Amino acid sequence: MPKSEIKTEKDAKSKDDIMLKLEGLHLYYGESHVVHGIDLDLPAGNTTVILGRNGVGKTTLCRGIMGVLHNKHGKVSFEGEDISRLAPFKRARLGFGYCPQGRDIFANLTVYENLLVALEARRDGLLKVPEVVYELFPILKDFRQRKGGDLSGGQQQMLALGRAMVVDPKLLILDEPTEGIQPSIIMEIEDVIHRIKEEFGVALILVEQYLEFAWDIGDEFCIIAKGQVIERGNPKDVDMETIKEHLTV
Amino acid sequence: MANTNHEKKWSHPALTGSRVKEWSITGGVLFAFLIGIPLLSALPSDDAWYKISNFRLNLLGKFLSFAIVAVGLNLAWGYTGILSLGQGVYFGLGAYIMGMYLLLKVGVAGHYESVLPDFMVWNGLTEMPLFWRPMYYAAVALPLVIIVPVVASIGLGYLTFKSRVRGVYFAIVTQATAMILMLTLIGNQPYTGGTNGLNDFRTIFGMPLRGPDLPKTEFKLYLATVVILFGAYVLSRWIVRSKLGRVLTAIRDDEQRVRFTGYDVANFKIFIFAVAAAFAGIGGACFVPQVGIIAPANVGIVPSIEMTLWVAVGGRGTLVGPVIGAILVNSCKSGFSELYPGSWLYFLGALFLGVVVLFPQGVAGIARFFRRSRVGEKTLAETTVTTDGGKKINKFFSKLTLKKHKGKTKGS
Amino acid sequence: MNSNMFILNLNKNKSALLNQFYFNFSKQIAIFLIIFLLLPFANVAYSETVSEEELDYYVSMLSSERAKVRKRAIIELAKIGGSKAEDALNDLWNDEMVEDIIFAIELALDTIHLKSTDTSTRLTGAKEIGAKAGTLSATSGLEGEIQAEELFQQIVVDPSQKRNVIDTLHHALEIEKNKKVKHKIEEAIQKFRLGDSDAKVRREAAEYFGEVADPDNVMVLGRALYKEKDEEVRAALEKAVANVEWNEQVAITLKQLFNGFTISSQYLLIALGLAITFGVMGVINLAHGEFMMLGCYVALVSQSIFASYFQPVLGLYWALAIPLAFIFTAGLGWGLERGVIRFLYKRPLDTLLATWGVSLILQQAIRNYFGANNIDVPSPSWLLGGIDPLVGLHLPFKRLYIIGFTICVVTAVYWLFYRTRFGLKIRAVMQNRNMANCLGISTQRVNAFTFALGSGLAGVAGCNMSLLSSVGPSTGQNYIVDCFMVVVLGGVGKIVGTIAGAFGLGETNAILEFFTSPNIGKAVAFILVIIFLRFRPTGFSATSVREDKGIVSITG
Repeated sequence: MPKSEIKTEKDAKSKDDIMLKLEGLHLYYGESHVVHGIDLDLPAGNTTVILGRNGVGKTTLCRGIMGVLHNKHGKVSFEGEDISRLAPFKRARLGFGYCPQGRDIFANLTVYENLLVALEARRDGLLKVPEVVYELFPILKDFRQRKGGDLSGGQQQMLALGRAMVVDPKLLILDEPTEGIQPSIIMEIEDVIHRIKEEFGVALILVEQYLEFAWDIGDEFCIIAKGQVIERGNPKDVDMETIKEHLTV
Repeated sequence: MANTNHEKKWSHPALTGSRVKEWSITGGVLFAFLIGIPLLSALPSDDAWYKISNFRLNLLGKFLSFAIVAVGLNLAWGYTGILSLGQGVYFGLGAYIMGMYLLLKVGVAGHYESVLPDFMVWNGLTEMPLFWRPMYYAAVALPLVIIVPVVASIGLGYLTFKSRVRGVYFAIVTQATAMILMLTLIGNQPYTGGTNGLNDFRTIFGMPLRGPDLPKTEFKLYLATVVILFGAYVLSRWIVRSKLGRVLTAIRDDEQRVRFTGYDVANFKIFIFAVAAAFAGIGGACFVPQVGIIAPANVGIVPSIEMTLWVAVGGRGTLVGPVIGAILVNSCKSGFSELYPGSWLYFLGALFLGVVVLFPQGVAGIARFFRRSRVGEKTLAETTVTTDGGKKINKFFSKLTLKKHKGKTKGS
Repeated sequence: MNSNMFILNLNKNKSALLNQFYFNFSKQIAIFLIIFLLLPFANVAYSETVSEEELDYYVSMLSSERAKVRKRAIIELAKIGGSKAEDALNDLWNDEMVEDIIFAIELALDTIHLKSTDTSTRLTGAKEIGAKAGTLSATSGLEGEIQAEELFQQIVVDPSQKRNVIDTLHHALEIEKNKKVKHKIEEAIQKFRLGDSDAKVRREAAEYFGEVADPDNVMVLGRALYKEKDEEVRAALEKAVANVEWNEQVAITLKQLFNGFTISSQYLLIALGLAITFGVMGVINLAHGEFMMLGCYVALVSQSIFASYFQPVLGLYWALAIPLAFIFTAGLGWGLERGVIRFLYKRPLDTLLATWGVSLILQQAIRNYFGANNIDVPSPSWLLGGIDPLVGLHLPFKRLYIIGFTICVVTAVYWLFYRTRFGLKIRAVMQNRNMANCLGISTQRVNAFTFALGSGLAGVAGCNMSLLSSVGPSTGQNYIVDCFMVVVLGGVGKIVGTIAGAFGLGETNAILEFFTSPNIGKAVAFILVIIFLRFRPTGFSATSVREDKGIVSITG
């Protein structure tokens, strides 16, 4: 497959290059100032796990990176270019895949149509759903003609992931991919996320409450409180239990 | 969440106090002016600069009856977020009831010397229709000026608000009601006078509505309108500043949230819509004797939507704004119609566009802009209709949650 | 009663005609001379078995001063037929004063027409003979009963001419292929029979009309009934009249429903654009009606362009008008979206007011350029006429065209929505704008495109509207509230809902209008829609997107 060739080439070339860089990002949700100046560096192919209690601005941060929320101050750059003023659809076309919290499946579109929509963001102008997606989630092929709204939570999450993979992302933003999903499917989803990271070399920004998984996959963690990063580091260097203390209410 | 700093900003006593005071002063000056104009004119000296002609005074009286409608519409739209494009319906109901009363007072003095109004005679009616009969009595007709619009608006509110129809959808439904009223009036010519409407009134409460003594009557009617407008203003001010008013503003800014807090949003909306309708009805009743005619052309779609313009130009969500807006827009209208008859619609269209796109807060917003820039506060660009409310709602809800155990604060 | 109408008309004409008699007398001679001089040239073209001398003889007899002679000539000429006889008769008809002879000439001309090779000429001939037969049977009383003093009021047809006409009719009936003409001929024959002296024949004729039950014949039947003495014939005639009246009721009802169908199609075309833009963007364009009105004026302008530059192919102006209207209004819609509406997406209520402002400006602009009066746009010639599937039920091609056109457009829109990638994008944006944006869809472009599409549909609807009524600056306002109510009734998100809404409102309106008046009917229909809203606030097409961005949660 030519795609994987490109990936490995890029990986070799710029393993340590910073792919996404946030500088002093401030985000407002309506009138509320939610994110107060966050800095973040994400090298290509790496995974950053974002942790924090409820309502500290994790989802807001994801939306800010995707461009759904307009950042009033601060700078977002991707592969060295300033994209602070770029609309979400342009970011998607740069290679941002996004699985929002609550999944946001198009409930009235079929599974197949849900996947087709994402072709809009392909950089290579592909006109059919790539086989890779069905390979990652065989269930999507079986359920092609079902309405998105008729799927179970876990299936919807798979669809959301699959849809994000249709984009052929360089960076995948996963906002709580295991939230509210039955344990058996969580395992499956985790496996796929691992594969996405390893086989496709996609950089991940992962918001996750489920620490074991986060610790397993993350190259870096980042704890947010009151809209600011209060701690960051490599999961290997830190004891998980101390982090847990940070997070319990 | 992160609303703490806004709370600080907005609960700052000096700022809030000065704001209220400034608007009170504006309102006071405005009403003093409105009362002052005719009183000065009534002074015996001739040709003084401050005198205005009877014609102008009568015109201003007409504008003020529009202002009553605008004050009501502002309660619904500016404070609660219910845009009604059919306020002409309630204005029309009030006006037609007043017109019926005045016509019945003509008695047999009409052209055909019949107890029936002239238009009924030439439409072949031989007997007074039943729904006209109560209008002989002022004691019945005058309350009906309020009751009928209120009942009609509650009916519409019940059908729509209860099924959570709102926003744009509600607006176009109200527009349809304006159409319904117009079609009904035109379609029942023998009972309503058709496209000609009701006109040719002779007296009101014993005062002549024609002849040499007309200016005296007009003068009294003007004063009555100012007084009623002032009453409407005070009432709306009281509503807005009560707890009820806060709920209304909260509904405007985030209806869902208010519903989740445990309020029956629909009832609040019906209530305020009915108040707006009552004001519109009163405005209509003030309009009729001063203008001398009420016809479907005054109550249809076009005049209804113009009513929203009065509020928008003056500044929605401000107390004095609608009064200023009604006077301003209508002065422009009569001025333009006199000077450039053909281009009034261009101007009106541009006004709609301009006030919505460039100055969503109208005259009041511009005034605020100048005051703010003086104080070094926010600029106009940052002040939009919604942002203004967003701050208040946060503050409001932090209070609400504390008081929750006391139950609903409705009607306080 | 109606029976007197015809006679009255004749009397009125009579005095005027008598006054002109002497004046025209000299003219008559002059015309005769001209005809006489022209005869040698006409001979060349005329080659029938009838000898030319005979024809010339009868033509010359036409100028006789004796009415009886003229009458005789007319009858003979009718038998001979041909264009020359027709011309001669036409000339005489222009000058003839005597009522009976005018009638005879007309009858002769119709008989000649009946022999024509052109179908439509034969049809007119048959129709005219039918009408005259009705007059004869119903006004001239039964043969042999004519009183001398009534002569002046009643038409008398020479029995030989009558026989000749009936013979021609029978002959024509045998050889006629065209169904419609055949039917008319049959009808004419039966009308003659209605005036027969034999009661049995009259009864048969009455029974025939009872079966056909054409509302056009109701007057003739009524008059026949008025003077009929025979009980049996009376009963047959009464039955026939009752049948006709019943048929008329059916035809009127069907016609009303059909007209409702046409209006519904127009509603649909206009409301479709509104429903799409509301579904995608949550805004309602109050200038939508004015876009439709502009479509009307585009039709007007195209028509006048063709009338002055491409007169020979005038009917083809429609082929210019439709695409031009679409492009023009779609372009304006695009401009409106880019220039105004996109700044107001967070304030949908303000969009209403802003677009209202635009509508006022457009109206005034049209008023300045084209004047405030309503203008009739001449419809393309190929849309004139219609079909008659039932007696008394006429379906004009214009209305059939509008229905067919709407079906095509709605199918195309359906195809665009559900079978193309762009449609998929629109549906995705309709359901979840943010997510669609995050998947690489330029929501702004989708907005602009859908708005342009909706406006273009309004423009095309305007073009069609020019077929139905005259066009004025306020044409848009007359229909727009109806279309808003269609959107309210149909709901958003599904095309099917809008279709149901359009036909629901259109037909309800048509039915109520039938029982009340146009104004009251419409008012009641609107009230019903508002009441309906209490039970189904999302209209006919309740979709699961409602809490996300459907009707219920659209806020100001």
